[in-house]
Amino acid sequence: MNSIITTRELFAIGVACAAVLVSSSASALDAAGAEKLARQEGCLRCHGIDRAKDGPAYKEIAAKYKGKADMEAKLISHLSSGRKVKFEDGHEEEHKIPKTKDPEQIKNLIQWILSL
Amino acid sequence: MKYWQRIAASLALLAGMTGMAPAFAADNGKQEQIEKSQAQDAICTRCHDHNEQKPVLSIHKTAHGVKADGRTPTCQSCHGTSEDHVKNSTNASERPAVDRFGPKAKSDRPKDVQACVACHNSGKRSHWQGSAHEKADVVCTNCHQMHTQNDRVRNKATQPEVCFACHKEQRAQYTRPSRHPIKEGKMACSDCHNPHGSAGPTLMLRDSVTATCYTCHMEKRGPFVRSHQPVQEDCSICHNPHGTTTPNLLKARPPFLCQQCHEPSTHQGRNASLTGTATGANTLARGCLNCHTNIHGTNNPANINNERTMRR
Repeated sequence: MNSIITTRELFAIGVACAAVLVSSSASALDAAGAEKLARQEGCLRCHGIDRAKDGPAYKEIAAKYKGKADMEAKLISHLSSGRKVKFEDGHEEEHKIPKTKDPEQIKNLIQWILSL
Repeated sequence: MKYWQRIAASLALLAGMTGMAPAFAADNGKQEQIEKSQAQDAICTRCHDHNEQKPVLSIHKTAHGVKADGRTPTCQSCHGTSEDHVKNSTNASERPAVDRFGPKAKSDRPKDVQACVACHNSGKRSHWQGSAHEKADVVCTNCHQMHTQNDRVRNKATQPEVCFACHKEQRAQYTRPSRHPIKEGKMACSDCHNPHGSAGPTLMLRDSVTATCYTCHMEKRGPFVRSHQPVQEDCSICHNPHGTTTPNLLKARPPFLCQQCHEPSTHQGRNASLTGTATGANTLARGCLNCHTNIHGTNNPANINNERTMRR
């Protein structure tokens, strides 16, 4: 009968499903992991998620940069360079560089901020 | 209402209000103190809020955080004003550390202790200087957790685990078959030891091992007509209080324990037997305590053979 799936077809479906799962897990945003990293690194001491502290709120950052080209790369560079940031009273401080050296974790953190 | 009744009521009201005035004034003073304390805390909680990895705001659920009590500290009372940290004087990526209780060199540890001792200065801590813990560079926060409602070392059930983090030999001993009821939560290390320092050996709660043991085992204290000398000297000559594999927390099984002091000149040296003469009998197995039942001391006035028999 034509309706019966052959072993070869079944194998092909399995491979396709596995490929979809792998690709989706690689690009999926780990929000809980990103928030945990933000706490660990002390990011949330200066940035609130939805309220401004010494630094702008993450939701404010997301609204400003979401959808803009290359923003992810620019924000990653901002985080890793430790360049000076200006405070309300006019003085400047070096932005904290995360202790983690895992680029995937930092990328996930930026993606989480932009998703807010 | 009659005229004189009105006068009396007005006077009573006036007297009542005069009496209440100091109470209001006191309330205002307290409110002022609370607001001042909260303003001090706000300098820190502006950044260190509920988003901290280790909870800091939970200190307000502890005795340290009772703002209505004028004796309780603000963040600055313990951590110092830490102006360099607050202002980030270096403008660098990493702020300078706080004045106290921060990641600092060993030489700064006494300052951390002083921050606590400034308030906690009762007689229970008067032997801290020179104590074993002080000499080993232990500071208060090695054992105590300030920002949590449940300080593990002050809870009888969880305290031993805090001590065992360093005292690993005792961790092994307290699981042995003959032991004090520490696992059951009926006793904790601080029932016998004062970790803040003491005049006795091994941070004993009292001035000696015997005095500490006698607080519970008072029937062993005496005075007795016939004393067994080690009982008066140091219980740990025969017992290991942390746990052993021999009944009654004994360090070894009689007769071997007894024969460590009592040389084999009398019946201890004979072949083990359950029969025979008084000097040769009853040396088999745990024979010593079969006859010498009152080993901690006896009040038996009879002089049976000699005065050191510790028999009933």
